[in-house]
Amino acid sequence: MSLLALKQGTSTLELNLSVPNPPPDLLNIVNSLWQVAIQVPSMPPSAVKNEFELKGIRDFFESALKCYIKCADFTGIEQCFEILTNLYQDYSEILKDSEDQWKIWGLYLTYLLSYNKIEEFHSELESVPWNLYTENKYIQFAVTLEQFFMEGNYQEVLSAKNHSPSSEFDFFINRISDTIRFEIASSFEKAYEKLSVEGACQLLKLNNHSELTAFLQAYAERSGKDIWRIDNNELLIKSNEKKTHEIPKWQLINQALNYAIELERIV
Amino acid sequence: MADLPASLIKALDSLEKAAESKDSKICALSLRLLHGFRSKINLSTLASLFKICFNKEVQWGENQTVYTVQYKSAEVALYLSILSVMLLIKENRLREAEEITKFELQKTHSRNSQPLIAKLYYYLGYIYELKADLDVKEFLQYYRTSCLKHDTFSQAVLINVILRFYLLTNKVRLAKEFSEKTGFPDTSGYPEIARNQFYLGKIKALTLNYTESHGHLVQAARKAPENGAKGFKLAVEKLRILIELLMGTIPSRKSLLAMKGVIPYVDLIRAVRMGELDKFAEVLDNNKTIYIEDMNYSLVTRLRHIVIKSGLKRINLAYSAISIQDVAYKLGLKPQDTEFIIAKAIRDGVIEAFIDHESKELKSKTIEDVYTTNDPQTFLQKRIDFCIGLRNDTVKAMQFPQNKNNAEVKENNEDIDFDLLSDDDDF
Repeated sequence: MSLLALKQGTSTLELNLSVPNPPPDLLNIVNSLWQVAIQVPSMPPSAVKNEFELKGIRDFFESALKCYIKCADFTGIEQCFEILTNLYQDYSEILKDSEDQWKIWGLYLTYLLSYNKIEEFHSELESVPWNLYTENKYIQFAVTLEQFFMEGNYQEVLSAKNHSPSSEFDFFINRISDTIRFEIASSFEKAYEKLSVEGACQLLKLNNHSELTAFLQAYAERSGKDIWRIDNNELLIKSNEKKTHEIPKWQLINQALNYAIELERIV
Repeated sequence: MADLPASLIKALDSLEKAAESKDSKICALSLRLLHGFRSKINLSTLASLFKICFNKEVQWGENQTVYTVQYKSAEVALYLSILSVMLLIKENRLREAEEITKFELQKTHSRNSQPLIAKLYYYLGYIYELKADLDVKEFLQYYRTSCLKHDTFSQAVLINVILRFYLLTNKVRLAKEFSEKTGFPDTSGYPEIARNQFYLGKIKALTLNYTESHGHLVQAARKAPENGAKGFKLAVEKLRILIELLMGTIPSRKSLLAMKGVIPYVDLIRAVRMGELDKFAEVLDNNKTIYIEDMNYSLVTRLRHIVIKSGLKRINLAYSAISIQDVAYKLGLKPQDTEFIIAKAIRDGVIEAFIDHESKELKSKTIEDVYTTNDPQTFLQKRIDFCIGLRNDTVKAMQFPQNKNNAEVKENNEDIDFDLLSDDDDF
């Protein structure tokens, strides 16, 4: 009974998604259908494992995920991913592979990457069969994105926007692009002694001086450090100015005392 | 009866004595001999032994007869069933082996036979793995029971079986949570500790915790037995090489050339040291199947950015100033990407240099005189701390000499004297 309602709800959701401007109460529809879904007996975790019910549940959550991505609802996205990964992994004997399975996996991996959850990214990547790293375009996209991120190849990450495998990925890629700029800025600190303002704008892909100052302020707020100084037309990095080394006196005193104690024990 | 090795009879005799004196160490010791029997006994001789040993009928393949009383204790029965399970697995009769183990596990056993029970759990795990049934639920149940009974031997074995199953089915997150929530008993024997350290090392490696993983693997190699366990030591070596590469250090090749199976990994070391991406891709392609078999493929793919970093290190050492274009050409990257990659490498502390954006060059920093910094002092302090710690540990480990009567030691090397329980009952 409720399964039938769920299936009807899922098909209306799909219809709504295909329209370019989704109706404003899309989230309400999804939430009400969610309530229906949890009533279904096979909803995990449950001892009942009916194939048709599970398939209906899975289709609903896949559509719900797409709706949440469109409406940018983070909690909803997270919950959907949890349920879907559970359904894909643990019920693989009962349910056959869904068509969108690897797309959702790719989305999940990109989501983890965009939230900087690298550890979970690698743990979940282990569950994916290795041949799909190159064969499946969604998984390949996520894997190569992570590789570029690790290498520091930010140019490629920014151009990844142009060849994302589907529109849902764009949401996460935009998030990554925002963090890239901060990453580039943080590597400036160590890598450059001095940098002209034009050079800085070029590297950070900003358009003029005022944008640069605004960005630097945001960076200082975020990282809590104030490392930049704009002097004439140059960006000087404060930490590169010479500092005198202090002798760590308390540490030395402690160490000398420890030596004395140990020597007395030995002798 | 004549074709059974004398050591087996001796072992059974001492087990019988142990059952009366409730001594668990003898049980643990007798397990050490088990592996030696594997080649010497086969099922038919074992069947004849059963005929003589027991006063009850035991279903044994096609042999079911009446037996005379000689051994009464449950420990002897347990030991013989372990032996039979081992031989059945050798002949690939898995269903019967499983039946026997489950039959024995259902009975209640005394505390001193806990090492024997642990061995049964180990074989049960092995049987399931051979059957390709890697479902963990049953073993979690067994683990719960062994915790309730405070059976540390079984706990250790079961933790290892469960971790192994999780890793074989790639459930890294579950393995990690399981290892964090359960306490591995410290009093276990070295083989179980070695296995546990290896699995923990694998889990930490997959979750990017390379330093801790390296620590675990070094421990695993130390606790492994000196002779034997070649497959295990090889697996530990392979993983250790990968972890050292991922940490950025190049492992030394001399000690590795002795082991044959490590050659694909030695090729990797060479490729990473060179810092050439295309060489690395070539090695990866050639040895792909080997890495997949060892379940190390995902770790090997992570090495790509290490190759770039090591290439950068070499370039930085060789040139005091080099244009970014040339760097890109040497590393095999696109020129517009290279600047960002270099900046990130400098931030990660891979090279000491700075980029001159105007002239598009990478310039090395002048090397500071190390003796003007505090570094020598900190290193010296670390070494002093280590030596003092070592000395204090040895003082704590000193014991009074054992007052055993050494005249009772027999000259015959074949016989194992269970009376002389020395302190090195490690394995």
